[in-house]
Amino acid sequence: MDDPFTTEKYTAKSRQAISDKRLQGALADVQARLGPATQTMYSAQPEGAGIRQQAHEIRQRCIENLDILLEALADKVTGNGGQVFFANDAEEAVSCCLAVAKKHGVKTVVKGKSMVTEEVGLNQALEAEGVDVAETDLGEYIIQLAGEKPSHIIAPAIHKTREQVGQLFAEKLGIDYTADPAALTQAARAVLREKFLAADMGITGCNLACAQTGHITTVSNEGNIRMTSTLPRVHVAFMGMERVVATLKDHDILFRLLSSGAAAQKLGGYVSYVGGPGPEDYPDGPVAFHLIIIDNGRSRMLADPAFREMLCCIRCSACLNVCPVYGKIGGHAYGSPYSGPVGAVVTPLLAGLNRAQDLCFGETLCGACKQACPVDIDLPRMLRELRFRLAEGDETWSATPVSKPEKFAMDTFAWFTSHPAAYRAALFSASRMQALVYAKEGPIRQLPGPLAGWTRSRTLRKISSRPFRSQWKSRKQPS
Amino acid sequence: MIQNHRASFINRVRQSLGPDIGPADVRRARIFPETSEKVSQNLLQAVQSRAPKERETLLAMLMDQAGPLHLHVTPVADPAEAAQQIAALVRQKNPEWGEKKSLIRWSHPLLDALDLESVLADQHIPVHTTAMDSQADLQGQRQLIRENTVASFMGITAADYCVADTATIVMKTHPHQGRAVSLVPSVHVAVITIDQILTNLTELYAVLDDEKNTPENGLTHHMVFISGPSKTADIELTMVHGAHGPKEMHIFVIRA
Amino acid sequence: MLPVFPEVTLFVQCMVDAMAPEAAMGMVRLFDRLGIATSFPEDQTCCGQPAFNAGYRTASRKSAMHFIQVFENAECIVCPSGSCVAMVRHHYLELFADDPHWLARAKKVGGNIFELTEFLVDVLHISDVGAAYQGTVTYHDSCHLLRSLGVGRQPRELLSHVRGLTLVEMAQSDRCCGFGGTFSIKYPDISTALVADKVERILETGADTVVGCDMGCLLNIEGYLTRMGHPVTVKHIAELLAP
Ligand code: SF4
Repeated sequence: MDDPFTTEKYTAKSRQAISDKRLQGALADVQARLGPATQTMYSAQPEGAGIRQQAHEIRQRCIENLDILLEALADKVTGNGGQVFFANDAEEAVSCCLAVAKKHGVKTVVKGKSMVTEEVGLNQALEAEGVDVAETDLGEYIIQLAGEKPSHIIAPAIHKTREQVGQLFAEKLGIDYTADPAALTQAARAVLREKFLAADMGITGCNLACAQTGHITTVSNEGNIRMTSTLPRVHVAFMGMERVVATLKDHDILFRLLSSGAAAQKLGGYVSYVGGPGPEDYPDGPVAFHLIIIDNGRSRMLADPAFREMLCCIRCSACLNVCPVYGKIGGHAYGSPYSGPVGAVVTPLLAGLNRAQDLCFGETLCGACKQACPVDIDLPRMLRELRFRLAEGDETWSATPVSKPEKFAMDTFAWFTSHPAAYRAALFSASRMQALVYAKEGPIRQLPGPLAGWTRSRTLRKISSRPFRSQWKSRKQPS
Repeated sequence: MIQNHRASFINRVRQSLGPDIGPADVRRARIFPETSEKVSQNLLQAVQSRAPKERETLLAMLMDQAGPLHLHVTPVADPAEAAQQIAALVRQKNPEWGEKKSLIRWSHPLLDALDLESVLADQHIPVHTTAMDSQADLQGQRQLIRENTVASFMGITAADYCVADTATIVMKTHPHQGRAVSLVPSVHVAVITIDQILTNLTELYAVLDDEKNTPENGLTHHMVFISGPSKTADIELTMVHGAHGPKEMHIFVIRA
Repeated sequence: MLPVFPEVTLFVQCMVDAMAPEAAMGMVRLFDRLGIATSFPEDQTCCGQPAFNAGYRTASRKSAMHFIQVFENAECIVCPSGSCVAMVRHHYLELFADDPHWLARAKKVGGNIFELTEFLVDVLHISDVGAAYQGTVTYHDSCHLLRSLGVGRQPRELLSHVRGLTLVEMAQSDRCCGFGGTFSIKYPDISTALVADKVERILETGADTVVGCDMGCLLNIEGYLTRMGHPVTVKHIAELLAP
């Protein structure tokens, strides 16, 4: 199976993104449009500003009863004539889908945007079996044609200009070159309409599921997911096992927040509840419905109290739209279907901590993501937790300490901080040493060794020859 | 078929939740409460006892919310006026795919009452329906309905509910009512009555919650909320209407 | 009426102590002027935040325990750094979550520590400290101060009462400057891209001075300004408020 992760390239890819002027503009644009708008949407909800905490509690309660909710959901869907398959890992999920495709003689597939199918590497597996797979979300379609990867959870082709899309379409679809988004959308509409009508199978993800009524729910503004789940004979839905909520009431709150968080909308344009295939004497709709529920590492998060909270995530991408780091490096740097702050936590837990260590350390912990998250997930806390496991090693996640020299430095510093006399002496000698090394007036312009990164673009103020503690001693007491 | 791991899967989830989670049946009872809350009972009452003036307020609210979503809402006096309005639309619009104009509509009492077949006769517009005869060849009927839906430039549906605050129509899936009618044709027209308008999603969910267990009127195997025409902003965040679904959407609200 | 404080115990963040002593001196003069006695436990070192954020909890705990020992008998601790206060008030609880003895002690200290502007405005109810400054000033919201402590209004209130000072807001004043402790050294390219944006926002205001309440951010911003040769002065708010 293809490895969906390239997390090792974080630094190199971020550098590449930062030097791409056009990408910088696009990222700033998407953040400016969606970032502040989501905040306004949350507080406009009838529940008031406390809705995020309320949603957090709902999600937490659902996750703590996940076994029950999954059973209830599966029973209902099965009772409605659907098939439910529980996949322990990516491989099982993929083989299940392949088996369904084979059974129904599937030659062509249309897909609605789904990150979990990227996580399990579904497209490659289907293509290897000779099945034609078309992504149908316009952004996903563009990057599929270009042979690239999504760079934003809800706006996957945000890194491409209209001119680039124009050239791509001229080349791949044989249309006359145009850079007009409306004309380009129309061109894709025409091509994809044929694909929808011809497809044997539709594959979608799942935004949420409601256990009590036995439905999965999907949302899109384009209508591609509805097409995908309505026109082909067979509908297969992939669902990360954590996506389920208990009741309709829970669903209401979370879906509103999902719409607000994702696109600053009150409600997404099309919301579909799918509970199973329709009876045969109904005029249309798939005659077979398969729900594939995927673990693929999620139960490990569930079992670790420090990371269980991550399963509350509804993948809305609001955190991407406010993250200063994402705003500079874009989605590709994360080397995973999950980018931005959510990706920085989820990806290491899926791909391996050591492998994805740059994702764990490469943020400023500014906390903007937590504030933007519609379910108030404490992403900075989990980033620190990941760093902790990596710094000191951790058996449950098979993490090995990342840096001996850094650990030594931290331990040494800690020793000094708990020995005040030594700390004082070190401070004064550092100040004196520095005066010798940097004899020139003014700030330091070049730092040595691992600190050199700082002074590549910045100077650094020197340690004062008279730190506060010595000034304090000699200060005049107020009379 | 490959092995399904439901039991071991659920068991692993249960193990991962830790030893102190408590017995499943106790938790089940807690997480799926039997009785609906008082709040939703009150909401239901409010919906049922709404005065005509309040309904007009909701209609105005719906029209306000629909505007920015490119969703056209037109109040009409009665079914006959709705039919006239639709006829005018049909005359005005050109088909997006192919030359011929044809329509597809649900088989639904409210739509039957519009008698579009006669109203559109002078324009020579065929009006297809998605009615099914459960005694005849189902495959063949589905095939024909599919072809008619794809060939039609306008699809006409009713709806179960309409939500003013989000400008949303709610459609469960009932017999003789094709799902693709509101999806595949370039123009979607929904005809509703004013008493179907609810205030907001909270009210809608109270209603849905109330009827979720009635067999014939539960949530059905498929339900869709539609808030305006299809749209995308995937190319440089420029909003374009008509990505895959309808480019245009109209709601006619019958006041009488 | 000022509430009666027998004494304010100063916790001077390690960075302020070493690199911005004038900010701490400003704070001392401020309290002198307000007639509030100050003390400075000379055994104080670092709260343990750098190690904590980098994942080195064992090391961080060592510093934190020392901090607690030094400060646990202080009734009221004031610190010119938002992130250190957030560390002590919030993150010590995380750090000692599985150690009831130290957790109890950490809670006590955490309840007694205040960031300088928060202390002045919320505790002492003072927004005019009688300071004067000739210049156009823009204010940078540091992340932990704003989001962990909810302090954003207080420094602005204090600044708005400084004679001669014109406060101009920069766009996205709450956007991270890219410091992030060890982040700025490990990921210099990303950090630089962020501070470059921050500086652009600062320059847009036309302000001659940028003010903040956290030395880490200020060193970062100052470093970039200086390297690029922009003549904007960087000041810790305590320097500016000091009479
Ligand atoms: S972490 Fe929160 S904001 Fe980010 S995708 Fe998940 S739910 Fe949305």
